Amino acid sequence: MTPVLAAEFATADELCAGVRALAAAGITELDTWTPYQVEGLQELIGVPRSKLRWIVLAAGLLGGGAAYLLQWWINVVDYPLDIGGRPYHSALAFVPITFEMTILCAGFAALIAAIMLGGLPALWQPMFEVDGFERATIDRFWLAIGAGDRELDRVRDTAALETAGAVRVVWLGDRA
Amino acid sequence: MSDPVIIGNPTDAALSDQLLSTTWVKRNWKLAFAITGIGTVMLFSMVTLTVMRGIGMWGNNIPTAWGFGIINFVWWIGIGHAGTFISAILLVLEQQHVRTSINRFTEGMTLFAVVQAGMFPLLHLGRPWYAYWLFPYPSVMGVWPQVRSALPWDAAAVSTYLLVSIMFWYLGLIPDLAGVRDRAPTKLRRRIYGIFALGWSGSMQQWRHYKIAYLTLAGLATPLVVSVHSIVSLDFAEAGLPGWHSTIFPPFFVAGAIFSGFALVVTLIVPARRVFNLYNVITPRHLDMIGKLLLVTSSILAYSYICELFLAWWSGDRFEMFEQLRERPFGFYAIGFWIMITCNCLITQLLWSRRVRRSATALFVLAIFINIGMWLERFEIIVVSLTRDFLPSSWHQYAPTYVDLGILLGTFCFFGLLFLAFLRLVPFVPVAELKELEREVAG
Amino acid sequence: MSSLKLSRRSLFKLAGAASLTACSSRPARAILPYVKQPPEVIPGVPRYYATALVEDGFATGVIVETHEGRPTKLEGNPDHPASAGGTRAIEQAAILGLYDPDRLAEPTDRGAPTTWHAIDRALDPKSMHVVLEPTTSPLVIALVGRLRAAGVAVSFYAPFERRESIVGNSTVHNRLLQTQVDLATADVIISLDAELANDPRHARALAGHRRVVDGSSAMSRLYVYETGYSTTGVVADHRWAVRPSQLADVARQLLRGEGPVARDLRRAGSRGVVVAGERQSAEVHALVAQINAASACVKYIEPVVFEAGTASHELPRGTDVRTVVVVGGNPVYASPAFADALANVDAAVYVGLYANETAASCRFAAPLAHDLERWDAARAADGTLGPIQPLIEPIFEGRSVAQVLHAILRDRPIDPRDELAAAWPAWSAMPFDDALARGAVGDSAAPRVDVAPRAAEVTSPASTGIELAVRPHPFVHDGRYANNPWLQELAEPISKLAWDHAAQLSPATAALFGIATGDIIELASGEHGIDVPAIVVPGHADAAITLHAGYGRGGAETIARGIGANAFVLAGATAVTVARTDRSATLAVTMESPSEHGRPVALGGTLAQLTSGALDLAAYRGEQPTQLGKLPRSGPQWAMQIDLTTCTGCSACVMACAAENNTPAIGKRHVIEGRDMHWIRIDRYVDESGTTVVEPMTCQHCEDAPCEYVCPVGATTHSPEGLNEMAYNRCVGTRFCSNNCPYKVRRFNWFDFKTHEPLRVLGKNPNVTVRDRGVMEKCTYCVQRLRRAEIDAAVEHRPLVSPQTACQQACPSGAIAFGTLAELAELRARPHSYAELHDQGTRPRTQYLARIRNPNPEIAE
Repeated sequence: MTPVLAAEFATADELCAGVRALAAAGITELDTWTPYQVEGLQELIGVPRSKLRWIVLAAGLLGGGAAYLLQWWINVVDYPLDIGGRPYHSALAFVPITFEMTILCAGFAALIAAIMLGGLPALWQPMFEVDGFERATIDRFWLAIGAGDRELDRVRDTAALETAGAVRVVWLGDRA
Repeated sequence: MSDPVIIGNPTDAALSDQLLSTTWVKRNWKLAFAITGIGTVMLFSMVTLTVMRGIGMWGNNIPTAWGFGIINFVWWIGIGHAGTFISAILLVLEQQHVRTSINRFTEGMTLFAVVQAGMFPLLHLGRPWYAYWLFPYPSVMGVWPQVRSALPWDAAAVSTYLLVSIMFWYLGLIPDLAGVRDRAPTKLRRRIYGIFALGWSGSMQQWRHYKIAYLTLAGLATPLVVSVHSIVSLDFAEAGLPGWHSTIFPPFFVAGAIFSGFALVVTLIVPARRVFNLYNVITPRHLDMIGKLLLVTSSILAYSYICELFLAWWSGDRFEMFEQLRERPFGFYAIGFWIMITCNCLITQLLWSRRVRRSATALFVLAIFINIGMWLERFEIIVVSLTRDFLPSSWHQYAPTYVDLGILLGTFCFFGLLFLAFLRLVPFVPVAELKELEREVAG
Repeated sequence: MSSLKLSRRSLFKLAGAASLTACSSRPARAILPYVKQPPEVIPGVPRYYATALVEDGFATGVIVETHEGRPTKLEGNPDHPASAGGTRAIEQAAILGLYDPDRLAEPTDRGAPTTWHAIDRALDPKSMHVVLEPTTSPLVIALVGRLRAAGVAVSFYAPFERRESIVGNSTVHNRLLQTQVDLATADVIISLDAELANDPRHARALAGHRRVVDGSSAMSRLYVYETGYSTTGVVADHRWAVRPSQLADVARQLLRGEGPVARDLRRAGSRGVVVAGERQSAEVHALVAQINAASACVKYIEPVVFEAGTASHELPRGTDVRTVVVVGGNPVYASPAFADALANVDAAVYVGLYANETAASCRFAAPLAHDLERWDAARAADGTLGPIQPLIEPIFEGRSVAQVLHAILRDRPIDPRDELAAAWPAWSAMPFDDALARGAVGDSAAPRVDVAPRAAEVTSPASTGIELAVRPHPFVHDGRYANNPWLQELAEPISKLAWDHAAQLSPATAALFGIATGDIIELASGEHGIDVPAIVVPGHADAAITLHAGYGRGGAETIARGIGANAFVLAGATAVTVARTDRSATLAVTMESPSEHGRPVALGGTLAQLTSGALDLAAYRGEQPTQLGKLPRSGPQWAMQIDLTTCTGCSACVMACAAENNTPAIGKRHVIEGRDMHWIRIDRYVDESGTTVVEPMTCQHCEDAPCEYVCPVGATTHSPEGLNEMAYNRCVGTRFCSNNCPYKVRRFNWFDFKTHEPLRVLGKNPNVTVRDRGVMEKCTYCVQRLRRAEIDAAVEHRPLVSPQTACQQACPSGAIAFGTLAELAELRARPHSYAELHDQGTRPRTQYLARIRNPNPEIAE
């Protein structure tokens, strides 16, 4: 999304009001920047739930399955050894490593997916060019409308955002 | 329950300035760094000595083939459990109220404790340079690890624990690293923290995946934290040795681990609270909660001790009875047993008092005793069992050497050094989460 | 797939070969193969030669294993009567004595290097006295005759030579006679402080009559009266701890026929025998000679040692000679006054193995050839003649005794083999080469001398106070083996003291003086006194102290030096005063707890219990309920059975194992720390009455081995033949296996324990890996011998013959049986067979036969 119209709010509640106002105006290409996750905001914008957990589940099952298979293969197929008379396929003994590998693979998947799905790493983003945007990680709440939104109306939306309580509304469209 | 978890009503900016500035405000810590630094140098000298000359530099022998090394390993890894317990389990249980101020702090403690712990299984090997043989890799010898042993389980569990703890810690840190990037006074700091922040901007796209990932990681870490010490306990319970061969070990070890971990949390957080003036975010309510948890885990331990004695008697096994009913309470190392009982079960009864639970000083003193008691518990389990096993002909006393003591002391210093660096370089109270909590509390 | 592997391998081989010259950090040195292959040397295939080791004149026949010209292992010679196949620990450790870097390496003159030639010139036969060790060598005896004819005085000296029995016999039989006892046919044996178990010949005979198959087995009855606790006392059916002075009273009582023991002896008739120890007085021996008048187990022979019991076996005291030559032995240490005699002569020459105290008192010191480096002949205790042949060229510039005597006589140099071969026909009808091949001449034992004993009234001095018994150390003997680290590290069988010297005393005596183990006490007699640590030995006689000789060495030997005190200082004293000092020492006692703590560990009972069925150990053997299935096992299923009835605890097996399997000696500090490396541990347990039992403990080769499943890298696994195997190269050293071994028989290389001494390395067994630092090791059932036997059987297309393990081969009592499960089935089914810690479900392949005693029903326990 290339932001063209950005607005800064002092509180999360005002941000939510801004989002509601834009939604009423039919704006759909919208993103917000907040210092912490604001409860209810996601539903307000209408962003679907993250698919991350399914990735994590798949990775975990894959890791655990591979760990068990590997243990079975090395003990039964590749190099069976007589270990104190214990059976080659000692299923109970294979459980701990299977479990640990499930967790490890799932954990890696969670971290990597969170970073990649969030579009990171991206050390430069268009919003970083906006003066005062650095307070977005401290105590200010930002939203921006993307350049691709067909319903974007600079004058109307600026007015709507200011009515909602925006401290500042910035037009970024000229930069591009 | 009406006690506040944040005192006053600091603004988001004030919280940021207070809690992020620890990464750029200069403090005169030269003495603390010097002491821990010297201790760390001593640790690595002792490690070098061990690797160059041989594991015989330690006091181990036959029958006591495991001594200080494994005691220290279990103790440190146990301490590591409180961090994940607080961060993950309380998050999953939606106990952010008591968790948020201290979770980053305890995660750091976990990481550095696991680093200390992780050194011991490597060092205690006769040939530490072949430690990688415990991991399955396609070797030219065509051989693989032997997974019926608890040690590869242990290797898998401890390395998984370390990695997942790092991931969890780092993921939680990203928004605050971005905060430092945007708030730090010098360009160099902004650049460095900026790189580690990966370009975090706090957009909805980022938050929506981030929060799910963070919760999922917490959900994964919850069984992990239980599994790690359970598997560590299997290093003993898997053996047939009297005093080790016990089905009660996994829950018993996990309770002990959380107990000792909380004790170390207290040991660290009480001074940090004073130095950084964190009275507003680490409140008597936090201390009270830790005190209660200490009391609960202490009671579980006391119950486990009684169970061990009872089961030894109930089993009718002469070796087990000798070990548990005679050698531990009345044998050569009995003094350790009684100090352990005193520290872990008796003096913790003071925690029934609300005043004690809310007094930072009292908790701190208690925590020191608990740390000693938990170390001695591992000593009793490992050394007393090994020195007195089946055939009396093989009995032999165990005594640590100066290298053993140097390494134990050295890990305290190395831990301290890492922790000081952590306090100095990383925002150790999760600012973003605290702001969210404050909004929740206020709203 | 395989062709791909091969081609890749070949590629690397070529690449490696190409870069070899470039990569090597050392300059290339050419080595050459044999230009002409000696027909008898096949690299990798050991050769075996018969020879003998000599101690105080007596030969013990041994078979020496050599690898490409290096002797590496000694075994007893089954054809030699002094060995009958078994050995003591001392013979097993002799290989380390051969390769001892502390040995005198070159002739010295007041410490400065010189030559044999210079010494030869200084040897003036006029006014010369030669001191030899007691000898049975016909070669040396002939030379002694020539020396005496040339006016040279010759005497013989060894501190513990067997002379009192010969003198005692002369009281009864009117002539000097040596007692020869055969225990094989004895039903009742009474030992008066006799070291029967430490003599392979007696140990074998004793055990032969004490093997219990079931309750109907015939078994001899052994009564032991002794001061200290000996290995003989361990196998006794009845044992009484008596002070040295009481033994004469015991003998008198037996002579009078009083008491149940004497009655039992009389009932046995000609199959009863009393044996008095070599350290007993002539008076006791005289009494015993009278008691044994009716015994068929005793015969008398002419003394085998040349001039035994005569005045020539005294050290020269006078100063009327100008030159003294001491060949072998260490008289200055054993008799400190002899140093004065040496100081007063013009030239003193010492020819010996070490730069010891005697060497330090002599102007010249020169190396003597080791038994494995020289030609000679010697007789066993029964007079059987055998040759001694060298297995290696003298490592240093050593000469044999005969060569030294030849030099004094100014003889022309003669090839020692030719000399022996030429002289041989005069001594024996057996061809010389046959004798060399066999190691002993059959039927050459000394003939029986018919005697008519007369009653002789003997008196013995009454003794008061704390009596002192100075005894040869079972391993260090009179100090001659004190520089052997294996023997130093071998724990004394009863007190389990290694690397150390301590005065043994009973718990009651110790309590009387307020002494605990480790306290340093002062023993004094007249003006002589020594300070020595005390060790409390249950079962020791009260009001008496046993002190081993062989310590307090002051020579230049690095290992022997500085341990303990010289017991010979007090050797003349029968009573000593004891005073506690306020100092104490840490003793390297290898076993901390003497008690079994009520655990069923070393099981035992009486023959009567076995007969009545009261003793059946079926609950301690056989299958246990298990959840484990059985993995396929194939090939010969190896197993071991150890008989505790005949095991004396002599520790020859421990030493044999060390020699066979290259286990290191690690030194006193590590022994104190509990790191000894012996693959066999002789467990010792003492009950409330002070009775000591022993049980050899080594890897039990459990079928369901607890050590194996805890190894994280699969370094210890099970072979199809049922061996518990160690892959040293795979071991990372977690030591979990040791923790989970209920028998604690695994040994760990805490440091780089292996020897780097170039000379010592020569004695290593090339068929056994020398273990590196940081790996676990343990008994392998001598897997190298098993493989050799299997290969030989395959090559020769014949059925496999079960080989002997090193411990089994060395055991003088034959207490260790080894073979396949099928071969041992009968032993394992005996009613007194049991598995150690059976309830642990380990299913050990090594099992035990419980210790069966045969007490006299007349004597209450």
